[in-house]
Amino acid sequence: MSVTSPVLSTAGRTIEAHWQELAVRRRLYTIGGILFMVLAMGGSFWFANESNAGKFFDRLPHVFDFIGQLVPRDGLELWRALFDLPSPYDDGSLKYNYPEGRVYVTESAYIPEYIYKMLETINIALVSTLIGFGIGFVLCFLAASNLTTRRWLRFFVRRFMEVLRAFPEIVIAGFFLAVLSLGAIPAIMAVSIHTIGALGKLFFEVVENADMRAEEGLRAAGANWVERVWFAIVPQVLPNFLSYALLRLEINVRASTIIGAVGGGGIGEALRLSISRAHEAKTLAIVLLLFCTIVAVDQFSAWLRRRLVGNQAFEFGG
Amino acid sequence: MLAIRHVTRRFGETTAVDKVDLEIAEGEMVGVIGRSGAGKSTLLRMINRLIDPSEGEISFQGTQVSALGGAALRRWQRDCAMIFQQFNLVPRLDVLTNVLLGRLNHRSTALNLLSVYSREERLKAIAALERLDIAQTALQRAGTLSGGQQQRVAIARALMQEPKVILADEPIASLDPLNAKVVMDSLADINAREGITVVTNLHTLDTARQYCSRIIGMARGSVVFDGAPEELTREAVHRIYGGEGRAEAIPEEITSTSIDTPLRPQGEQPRLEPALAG
Amino acid sequence: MGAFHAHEAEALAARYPDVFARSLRSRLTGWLIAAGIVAYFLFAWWFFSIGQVLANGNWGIAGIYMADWVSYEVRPDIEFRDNHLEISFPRFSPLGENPDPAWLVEKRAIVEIRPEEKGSVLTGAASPSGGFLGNLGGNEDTADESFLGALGGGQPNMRRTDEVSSETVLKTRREEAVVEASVSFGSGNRVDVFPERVEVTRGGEMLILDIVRDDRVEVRGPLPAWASQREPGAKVFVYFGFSGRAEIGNDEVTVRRRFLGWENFVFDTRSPFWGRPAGEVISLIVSGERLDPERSNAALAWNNFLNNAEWQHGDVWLKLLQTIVMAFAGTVLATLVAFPLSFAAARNISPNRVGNFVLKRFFDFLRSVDMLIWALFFTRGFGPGPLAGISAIFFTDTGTFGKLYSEALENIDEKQREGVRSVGAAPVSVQRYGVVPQVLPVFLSQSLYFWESNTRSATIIGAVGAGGIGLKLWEAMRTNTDWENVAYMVLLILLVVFVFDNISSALRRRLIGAEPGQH
Repeated sequence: MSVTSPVLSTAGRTIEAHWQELAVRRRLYTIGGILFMVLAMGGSFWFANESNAGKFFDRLPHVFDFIGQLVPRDGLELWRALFDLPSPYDDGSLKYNYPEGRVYVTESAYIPEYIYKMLETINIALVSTLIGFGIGFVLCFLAASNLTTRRWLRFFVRRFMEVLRAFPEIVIAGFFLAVLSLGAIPAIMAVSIHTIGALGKLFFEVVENADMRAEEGLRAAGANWVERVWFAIVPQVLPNFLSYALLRLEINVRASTIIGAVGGGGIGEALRLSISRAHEAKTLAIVLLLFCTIVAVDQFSAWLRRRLVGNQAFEFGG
Repeated sequence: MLAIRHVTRRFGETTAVDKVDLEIAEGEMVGVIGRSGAGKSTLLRMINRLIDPSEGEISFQGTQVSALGGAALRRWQRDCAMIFQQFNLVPRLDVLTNVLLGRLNHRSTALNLLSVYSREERLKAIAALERLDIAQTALQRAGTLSGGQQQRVAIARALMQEPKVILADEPIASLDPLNAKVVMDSLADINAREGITVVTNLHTLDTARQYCSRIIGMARGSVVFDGAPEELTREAVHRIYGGEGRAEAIPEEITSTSIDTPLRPQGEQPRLEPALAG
Repeated sequence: MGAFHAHEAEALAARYPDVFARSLRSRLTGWLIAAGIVAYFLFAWWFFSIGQVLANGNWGIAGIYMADWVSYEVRPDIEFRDNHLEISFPRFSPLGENPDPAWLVEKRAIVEIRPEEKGSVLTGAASPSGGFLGNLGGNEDTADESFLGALGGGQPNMRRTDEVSSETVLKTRREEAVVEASVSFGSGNRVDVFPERVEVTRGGEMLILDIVRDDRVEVRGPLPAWASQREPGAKVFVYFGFSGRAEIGNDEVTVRRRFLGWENFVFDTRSPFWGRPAGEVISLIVSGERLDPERSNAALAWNNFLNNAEWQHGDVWLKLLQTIVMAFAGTVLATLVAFPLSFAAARNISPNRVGNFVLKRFFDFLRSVDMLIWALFFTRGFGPGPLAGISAIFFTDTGTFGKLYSEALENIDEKQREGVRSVGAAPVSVQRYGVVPQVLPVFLSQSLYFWESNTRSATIIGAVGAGGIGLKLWEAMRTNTDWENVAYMVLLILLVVFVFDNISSALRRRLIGAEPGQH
């Protein structure tokens, strides 16, 4: 069948021409965008490769060597490292000194070192999330345009939260490490401050979308600002707030692990040390523990969020 | 006496309420009628001070309400309860708490935030709910109730404020005729029993005629009619609702929500019997 | 509504027993939750021994570190000599090699300088012109001496060895020397140093200290609140708040004068442009004679700026670029890889149940092995640098995107796909026209969101070895002296994050036409 182009009216021809024009422009944009991305990516990789200690193609065959380095001397070593049981290979070096890390609760009962450190990390995350929730909760109402009529206050609170959110966590941790020298407080401070900013931003967006009728009703009854917020807004937004806080908890467990690795204590530090010292069984034990914990926290949080706000829980927060 | 003098409210270019002068005596039941956009709602909101007047003044029993601020303003808002078309309850809180929220301005903020209510306050709340015949819903979430029930909760909350004036902004516009009647009956009952001044915006003529002792008609921000229901002639209706040239253009039925069967036969009034002699 | 009669109230309460019973219980839950949170905080307080750590913290130094963010100190030493003073600055003073600040006024006179047992005469001999300007004028030995002298401990020994080498000049000489030095700390506060005493003025109060050289410091009258002394005769510390402090010992006065601002931010003291006003620098760059015959003034200025020894602009920017590149390349790569994989993982797109399950668990695995772990592994693999950071972000985000994308795919509107299928399109075309247009904006929006948050993550994984600005920050913080550099880098990071945040949310708004923050 031969295809004959249909005869078009004047209007049809105009539309056809316009469509062609649009198509050409769209294609141009697409090609331009792709070209830009290719160039940007190429440049990025070249730059990354140039400024890296090892070169990509030199190192590529060896990148996954670490898997080989992770094989312990026998399968049981993993459990010995995890539960601080004595190792038959103990030669007095740090590599096999599992029982030395035991944290004794009573004379004979102990918490294995890594589980104790994992608990430390989880508690850092939990405390930070609670602190961040509390302060973010207070701040968000001051940042919401439907509750705070003073422009300057809103502006100030919003910028303040943005700075808290963007402020590099590592600097806060480093500063408090310099002052306090050790302990979990630097990590708690760093993670909490970021959490205040991140949750505050999410919270005030929720508040701004809240239904204001109840608030108006209470205003007409002579309630003051605090009472209006507490009774009219909080009941509406609390499930969403809690859902965001749980998401934040997931993120904070990871964040406090990382902060730990740069000196904040907890499991992160143990991991960094054992990887850098090539203690295969210890590394494997920590990775396993961390993996299970993160999966467990994620599952728990997802379950709770689903209960709180139903299926709209699948959001992500920064 | 509630006095409104030369009150004007402008939103940008448009003038919602234009130099309104009114005096409302204590214990009156006033219906404000007019087309939507005539400024009825703005007028009521200005009395409660949810909106500030651009010009003019509002005074109540010699106090200049329009000049109040801060705690004094909130005390006035307590004395001047407001009922809304959309009920404006807190849907996630239970009915009893919603009613108790009417007491907010009577108590300290700290006690309010901790939700510490005395037994007597809770009894009062229950009594108010019982009076409106919805006490059985006291522990349900307000959001789960039907519109008519929610509006009655709102009235119970208004009662808890122990107000001197009740302003009702289209209280029955979102309700079916049956519930509309119950709500209007309640308001009339409160007006009759407690002698509380009630000012209510209505969009239906017959409701206004039926319940109100005085009707105020508004058009384009101005008061164009003020008098007893009997004085509301066709010409007056035409002035209020405009109409396209002929007075007969607005038959009474169009703006009516009444239902034919009498709901409450004479002499039988168990529904609104107050729970306690107050 | 008046008051109730008792029996009416009872009757009412009896009619609604559940109301009065339950409100009590529900009120209790709130208190229980509050009590639980308080108890948990108490537990955390104990668990992390927070009280103890806070008490042992060095809070005095915290204030100085904080001040270091936005200010700098100049630290002249004023040494007591027999009948005169010697003023010296540390070698790398922010004031350059020949400091003569207006806040330090010295009075000179001709004095008889006797040779000293401790050999301070060496300085005099080395610089016949006298005065501290001469001392520091390119004379490394003297500068070194005063520098080490500040350290205290090994001082007498050192000087004795010096003395041996300077036997020849044990004669009394008449020479011009500093006999009085006055350090101003602003608003009338100052420290006046004389060879035998020190007068400190602060806020109208005056403290006079008599110096018994190399022996003790005597305080005349009571010590004001702004001064402290550990024991009679020992060093006296005087504080002037932000403006600085001074330590008055029996051999020297160590001044720490603090100034707001970042010192030598553009050019360091070695640069020929250093110390010149901005107008002069610009005119030099535009039309001045070449300071360095090898290259133009503009090139020289640029080079001096980038290689500023104190601020290291060039290196900081390079490291910042590494961090940006890490986040960008990692996010883009993860998007590209997760895109096809998510189609295979979505239940409604590819009906292979086993494949779906395996892929989804694979995504979970990538996500749950933390970015930290990947970063540490790849730092071992590639060596420190952006490649390790890119890989870590790539691995983690492939998991995250895979999960998010496949969830988005499973929630698509089936009608559009049916529509395309109904015209007889091939399976690939069905996805291309029936699915991609629906999900692409969502996908891109999610990637953009993560691009911005990865910029922040890249900073921190940099510190564990993946390179970039994070590592540089960490190094700057470890010395505890470069807090102003930390502040500079933080400012740059904040700037980058804000810019990226705005770009990302503007693009996202265009893509999905929604308010930012709603996904």
